[in-house]
Amino acid sequence: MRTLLKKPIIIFWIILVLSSILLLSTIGLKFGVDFSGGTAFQVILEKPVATDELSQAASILGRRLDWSGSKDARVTPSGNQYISIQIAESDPAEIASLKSALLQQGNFEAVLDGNILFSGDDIRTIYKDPSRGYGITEITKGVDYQWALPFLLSPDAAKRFAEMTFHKCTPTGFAGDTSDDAYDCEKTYFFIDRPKDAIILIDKITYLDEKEVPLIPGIYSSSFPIEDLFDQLNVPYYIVDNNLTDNELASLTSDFNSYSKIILSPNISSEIKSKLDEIGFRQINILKQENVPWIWDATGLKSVISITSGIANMDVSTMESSRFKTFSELHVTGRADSYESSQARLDDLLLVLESGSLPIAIESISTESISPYLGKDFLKTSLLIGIFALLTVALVLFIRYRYFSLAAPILLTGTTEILILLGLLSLMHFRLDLAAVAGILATIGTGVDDNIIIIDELLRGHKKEDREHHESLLKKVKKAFFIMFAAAATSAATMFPIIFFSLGLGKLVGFAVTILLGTAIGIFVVRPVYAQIAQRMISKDHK
Amino acid sequence: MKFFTQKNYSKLLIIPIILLLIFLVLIFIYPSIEKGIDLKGGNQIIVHYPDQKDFSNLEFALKNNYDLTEVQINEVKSLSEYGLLIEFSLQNDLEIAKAARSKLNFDLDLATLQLEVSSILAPLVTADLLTTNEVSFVNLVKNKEDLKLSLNEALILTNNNFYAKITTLVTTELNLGSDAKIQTREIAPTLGKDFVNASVKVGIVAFVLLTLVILLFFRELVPSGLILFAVIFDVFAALAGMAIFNISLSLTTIPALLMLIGYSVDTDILLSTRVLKDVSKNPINSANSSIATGLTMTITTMSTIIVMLVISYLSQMLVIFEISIILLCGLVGDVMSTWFFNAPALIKYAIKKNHKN
Repeated sequence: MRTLLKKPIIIFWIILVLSSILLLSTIGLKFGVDFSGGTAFQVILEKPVATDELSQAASILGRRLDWSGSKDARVTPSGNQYISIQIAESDPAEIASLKSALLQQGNFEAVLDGNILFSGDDIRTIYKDPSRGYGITEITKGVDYQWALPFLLSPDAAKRFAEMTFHKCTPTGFAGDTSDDAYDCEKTYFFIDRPKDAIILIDKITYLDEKEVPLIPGIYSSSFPIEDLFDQLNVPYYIVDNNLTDNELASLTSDFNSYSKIILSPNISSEIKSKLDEIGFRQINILKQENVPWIWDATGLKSVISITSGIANMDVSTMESSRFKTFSELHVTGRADSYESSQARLDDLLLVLESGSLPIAIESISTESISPYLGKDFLKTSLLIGIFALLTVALVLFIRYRYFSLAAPILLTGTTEILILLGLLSLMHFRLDLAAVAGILATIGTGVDDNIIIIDELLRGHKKEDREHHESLLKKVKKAFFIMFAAAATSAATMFPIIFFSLGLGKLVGFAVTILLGTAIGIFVVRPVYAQIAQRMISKDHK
Repeated sequence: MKFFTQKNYSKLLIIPIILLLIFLVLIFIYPSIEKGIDLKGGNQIIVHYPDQKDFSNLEFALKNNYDLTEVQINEVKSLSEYGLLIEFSLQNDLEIAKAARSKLNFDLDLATLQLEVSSILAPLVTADLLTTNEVSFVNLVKNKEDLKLSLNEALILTNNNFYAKITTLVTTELNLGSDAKIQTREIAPTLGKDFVNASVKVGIVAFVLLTLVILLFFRELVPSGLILFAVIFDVFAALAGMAIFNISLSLTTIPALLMLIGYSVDTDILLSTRVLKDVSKNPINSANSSIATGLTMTITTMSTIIVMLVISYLSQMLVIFEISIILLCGLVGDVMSTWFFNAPALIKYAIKKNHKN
């Protein structure tokens, strides 16, 4: 036993097993749609595109489905015209609406004082060209960065912009030594899909929580009153208690003539909901997401941008539009304390301004969905199969060899093989699906086959009738490994093409990956370990 | 006990050859193998529920309300649960609309095209698969390119609406709650076609690599050819099993076939190594000594697969159930191909080779 523990391969094996247990208990296993429930969309684009265009399309589709990133949509581009999206949602009605969301371009609007300043259609070009000012400039390394996004408006929109923003700044004190006078300017609000046919109903708790709306969600920033945001919407809103007052009820009933939908904040009581049902409203429940104020999600607010004094024509004193400076080319700029957060803000805004228009048309969308209840069943069944498979292997081996000290290590090494494989998969953040489970079961199978080869090679010649086969143990182990290597190489030969050619065959990839990893762990670690143990057992027995 | 003797071994060869012919008939002539919906495109809904339900109305409702050309409803029962497997084709009006779209001539001027697109979409609105709002784009688009894109999207949307309606119909007809155990699949025919192409490519490359690997390890043409033949035989055995049990070729059954290659090649490599590498020994003895090892391997694997088969049957896990059947048939085939074909042929080859030396 002690000599066994000195072998490098055994030490390496023990380290692998321990670190796998550590990985599994810290990172843990992740499950795909098959087990956790959810939906997988497979989008095919009209024609093959370049890699960067494909990943651009993928991020746009991801946003269409899930602007705030709250639904945990996982978007993976594959090949050159496929995008697969997985999302933890399996309700048929919800899937249908997600699927139409995939097809729809968001409706971008920049709003000032409740009026549209310019919309997605008004944007002629977005310059992604550093010579026009696009990008990030470092002002003070490590603390201060400025980002800028230049774009061109259509002439009509530019004129409207100039008129609407005219003198929207008021001079304030503390001019100081800067060349610009100090101004307090109004804000423009950038929306995607600003509610137009829906009333907003916000409960007191949420209202008090979000009375002051942050300018940039998720980080510390200055804020503005929630009423400013309501002013941009042109739809009625109500701040309600646990129940509706008679006045509110009457007013809502009359609103129903012009608005069919109602957006509800998270704490709206069921009494209110049943009353709204009676009136006939279609209710849209919007949940509160972490790091994003509820009101941002509910109204589709994506960004708040202040007007600058230069653009507001503060130096022109009359209202005569002929004297305005009209700016067709506008820059949205901002400051952030790191390069990464500048980049993130810039990317976000770019996506908003492009309002998620795809660079290429969608050919078709396929969906597969599994309810979480069924997924749980699948997981239970898979575990059951795994356990019973190991027990069956043990039984068969015991019947065949009647030799506990040879059969028991097969179970031990077999179990560690799965453990190491699972550890590796959790390190890779691999999501286990049914195909991967099939791959793991296959690994158990080949593992046991290999161990049988080792035992039989070693035992050959120990029986009296074939003394002629008597060879050294080492030579026998070598022969066993020749067989195992050949078998492993054939497995690899059939699995590699799946990984390389499986454009849209995401499912098969999981299968191939688990088999390849399992085979490698088996042939390079677990089998040598078993061979060591078995050699020891047999030479002890025959001394 | 000696399985192979001087007299019998070459006679065994006839069995696998006859079997192979039978397999070919089963696979290609009758009952033959169908492509699953993930390879040909189509719609599938699987529901599970604890108590027996009367679903006779469902088929009627589906056919009547939605003008479906093809509906198949199969009940699946296990000890603890009931289930329905519903497969249906695309909606008729949508099929017609799709055909009309591919015939559209985009050289015409925008106004004419707008009229044509309106007439393509009108039946879909009548069939309640699109709202008037969803077709309003026709008169709003500014150019042909936009019209083409929006038409494409409208057709995807139609399919989407159609599918949502069917699933709602199924859940309401069967009285399933929000915690229903339901699995839906909707595969676009284009995706299916791409899957088939990719699978064929994978199959060809895998076979070439497999041949190279085996040649590399054995460096002798005949034994390598025999191993490859045995592998092909096993795959055909599994395919024949699929034909008999009415399992279609799909993205879940293709991995099973590949898995089988890995399993079946083990015993053949074992046999070839023992017969060829022990040059000093009688090939018949070497083959006989391999049988015990090889059968232990196969029996162990088979018993785990039977466990899979039983558990997946009881819990209605269709995917694993199908994989188990395929592997089981393939492994039965493997016993035939290894011990009735590869072994006798290899003994013949080894004896001839020994004579030459």
